[in-house]
Amino acid sequence: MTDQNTPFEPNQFLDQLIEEMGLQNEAPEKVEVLKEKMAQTLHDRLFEAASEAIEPEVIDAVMDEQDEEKELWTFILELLKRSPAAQEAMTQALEDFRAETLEAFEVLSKTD
Amino acid sequence: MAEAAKRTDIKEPEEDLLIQTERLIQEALDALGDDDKIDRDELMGAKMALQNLIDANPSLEGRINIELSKIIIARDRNQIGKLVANISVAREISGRRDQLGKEIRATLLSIREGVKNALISRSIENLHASDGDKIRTVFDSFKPVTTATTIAPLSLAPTTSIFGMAGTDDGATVSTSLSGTPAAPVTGPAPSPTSGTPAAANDPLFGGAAEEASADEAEDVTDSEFLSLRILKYIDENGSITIETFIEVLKAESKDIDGATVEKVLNDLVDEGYLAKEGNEWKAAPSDEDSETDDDEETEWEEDDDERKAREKEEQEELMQEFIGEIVWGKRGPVAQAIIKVIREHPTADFEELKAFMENPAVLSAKRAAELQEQLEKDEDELASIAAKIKDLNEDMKAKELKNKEEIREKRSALRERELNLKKDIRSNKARLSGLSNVQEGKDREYDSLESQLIMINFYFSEKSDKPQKFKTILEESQKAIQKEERAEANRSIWGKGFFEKVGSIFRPTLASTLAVIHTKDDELGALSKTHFMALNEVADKDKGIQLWLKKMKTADGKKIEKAEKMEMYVPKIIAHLEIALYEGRSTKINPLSIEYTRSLLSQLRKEVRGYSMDKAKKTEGGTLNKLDAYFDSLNTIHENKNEVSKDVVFGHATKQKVKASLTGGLGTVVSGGATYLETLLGPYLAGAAAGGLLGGYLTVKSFFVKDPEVKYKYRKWAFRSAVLPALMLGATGPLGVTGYAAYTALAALGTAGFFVPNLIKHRKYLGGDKATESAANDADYKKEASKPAQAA
Repeated sequence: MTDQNTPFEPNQFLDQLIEEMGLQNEAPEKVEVLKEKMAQTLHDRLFEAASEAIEPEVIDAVMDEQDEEKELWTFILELLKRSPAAQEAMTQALEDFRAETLEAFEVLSKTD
Repeated sequence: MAEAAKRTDIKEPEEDLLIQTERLIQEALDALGDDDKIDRDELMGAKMALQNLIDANPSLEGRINIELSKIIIARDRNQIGKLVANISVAREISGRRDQLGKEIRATLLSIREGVKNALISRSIENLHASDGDKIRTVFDSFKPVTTATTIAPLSLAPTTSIFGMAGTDDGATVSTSLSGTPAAPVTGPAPSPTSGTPAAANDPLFGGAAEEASADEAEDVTDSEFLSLRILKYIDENGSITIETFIEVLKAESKDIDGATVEKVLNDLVDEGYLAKEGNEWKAAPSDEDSETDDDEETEWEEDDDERKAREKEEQEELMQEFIGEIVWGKRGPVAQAIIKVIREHPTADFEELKAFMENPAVLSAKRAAELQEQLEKDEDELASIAAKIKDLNEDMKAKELKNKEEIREKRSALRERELNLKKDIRSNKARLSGLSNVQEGKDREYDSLESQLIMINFYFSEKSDKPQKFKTILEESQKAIQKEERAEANRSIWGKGFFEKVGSIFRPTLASTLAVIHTKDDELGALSKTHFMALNEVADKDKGIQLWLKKMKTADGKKIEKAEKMEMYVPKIIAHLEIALYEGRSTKINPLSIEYTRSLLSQLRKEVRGYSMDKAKKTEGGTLNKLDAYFDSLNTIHENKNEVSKDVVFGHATKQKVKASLTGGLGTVVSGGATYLETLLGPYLAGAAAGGLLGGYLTVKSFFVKDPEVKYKYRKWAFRSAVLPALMLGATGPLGVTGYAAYTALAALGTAGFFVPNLIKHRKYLGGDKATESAANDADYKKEASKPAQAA
């Protein structure tokens, strides 16, 4: 598990999840593929959650302060950084993703 | 006058002083720069400098004060320009100072006091009532001939009158000037309106014409002129005059003038509206009474009165503005508004006094308190005596015969009524006394508080009104006024948000109209049965509603749809549209009434997607790892399909590539190149809605390029929100355009950016106590997790 005060590390998070499912000892290439797929889903979930939760006021504030010429990605990071609601939603999405993945694993591992 | 004579002994060249005066005023003028308003401090500085000049040569004082008073009263750039011109004229005149004579100088000196007072109080009323004419006189005497012609006739009358007054203790000077410089008095043969132009021409101030006048004529005029002025002066001092007494007075001044001449002069003065005859006596004519004569001169003065009133009004308005400015300078908000309002309700108030009161409430309150205290004591005494009387009457009642009792009873009830009234008065006066001390205390305690200033102002006006209120009432009223302004401000800010937001919240489409638009705009969804599609507006509230809806999904011509097609094409499309409508809805798109429903609908659809992916994975060959792969594949595919739809919807089919390119550039390019983009962005959801046309029209290409910075800012804001939300939703796949690895980098970036610390956020949530629905197990989990690093350490 990640340290309480360290920023989110997708690698660590996903490795841990794979470990929880007991798949860490599978063929590394296969695990790597799964991990990438999980990363994509996780990414989608996180940004979906963030865009649903972000406060329009935060967008306004960041818009006022930020240089327009900045790359959109930097801008998005700044938005997430400034929006407590988005961060909370992302944290929740992270939890949900973990729970759902474990649930899916439970179900799928029994269908063999 | 001896003093004045002494002053003239000072050898300071008059010319130099005038030049200096001019320069000083010019400096004041220059200091104003382009600003039309005159800085009072500057003028006060100039005044101080002038004061030094005056100290050097007191004979100039009067004139300089007049100049200054004019400046301060006028407070107008043009006026100052005129004054500078006047001083120039005065400088020319000063070359003929001998002709002007000591009397003019004396006049200036005597005017000085009045002007000074007027200056100090800045009371225009005073200035005009007592000294206005005198000032006018001297001023007009400085004016170029052209302007002097109209005013000269009246101009010197009061002037010389004062000269006459000066003559009382400086007779020699007077007579010398009268006989020795006959031209001087000729100047203003004033009261005769017809003599206007010649008088001006003869004015020694404006040339030597007077010298050409015949000596006899001059003598005549001088006598009658002297008489009229002396009479005015006498009436000014004594109130009324009779011919006999005046002849005595003249004799005392060793002047021998017969009664007929005096009477003629008196009658002339009556005709001219200066005096009114009452029996044998003559008195000053009531100033406000319209003169019976209707020559041009009178008309002009009436006009002047109007002007004066207008000016006074202006001046009062200015004082009010100044006062408001001092109180609420740099402060905003409801309290300041309430203060402005209450002051504006009393435009005729004495703001000098109010200002003094604000600085030191004791000025008013001590006086008022003394009055109240006195009244209170008086009332209490009366109350005591009434009580005694009632007691007596009561005893009488017992002693007297029955027939007198009615009388006594009446007397007694009258006394009791008085007693009641007195008690009431005493109570209210006591309350007001405590109010006074409250104001004083409030001032001591928190003078800077705008609110306490409002209370003080209200208190002042209340005390000045016919019905002073209790302090408590004033407090309540002040509070109410503030609350009223607060409400008004809230309303203003709501309305101030502008048309777009207003319309946005009122006419924002509901989910039903949004669904209708989606069905029309999206060709593939349009292939579905509209009735069935519109049923989405209801199914989310029903048990298994969404599952049944998915099961029954069919095309417009009633054909069944494969499950994979439903889940991998239609559902992601619907999700994409709803997400946009919902996320945008946070700022623009969807009616608040529909938001929660749409959320629920979305989450149910997502759940269905997961269920479908799970089913698909179950059917996959191979081990758990393969099945998991399939599960995530399905999820990712559906999500990718959804993203494609989002991009299409958001950026529009036509502009898709272009905008996609600009997305990788920067947000600035997105927005600035974004009129079309914005239209396509808003288009699908607004066009079909009731107010869609309105909103769409409001955000057309044209309106996007408005010049008003505030409106522009608003558009820009909306454009940003509209651009950012979908961009955010697309995540890394938006700007970076690829899946898989890009997603991974984006996730890593979240971490390296350093702000996304899930455990900390969880901890914050945990401490905040929200999401009480979180299970205790979760809490335990958290504690376990939190303790881990500590153990590790």
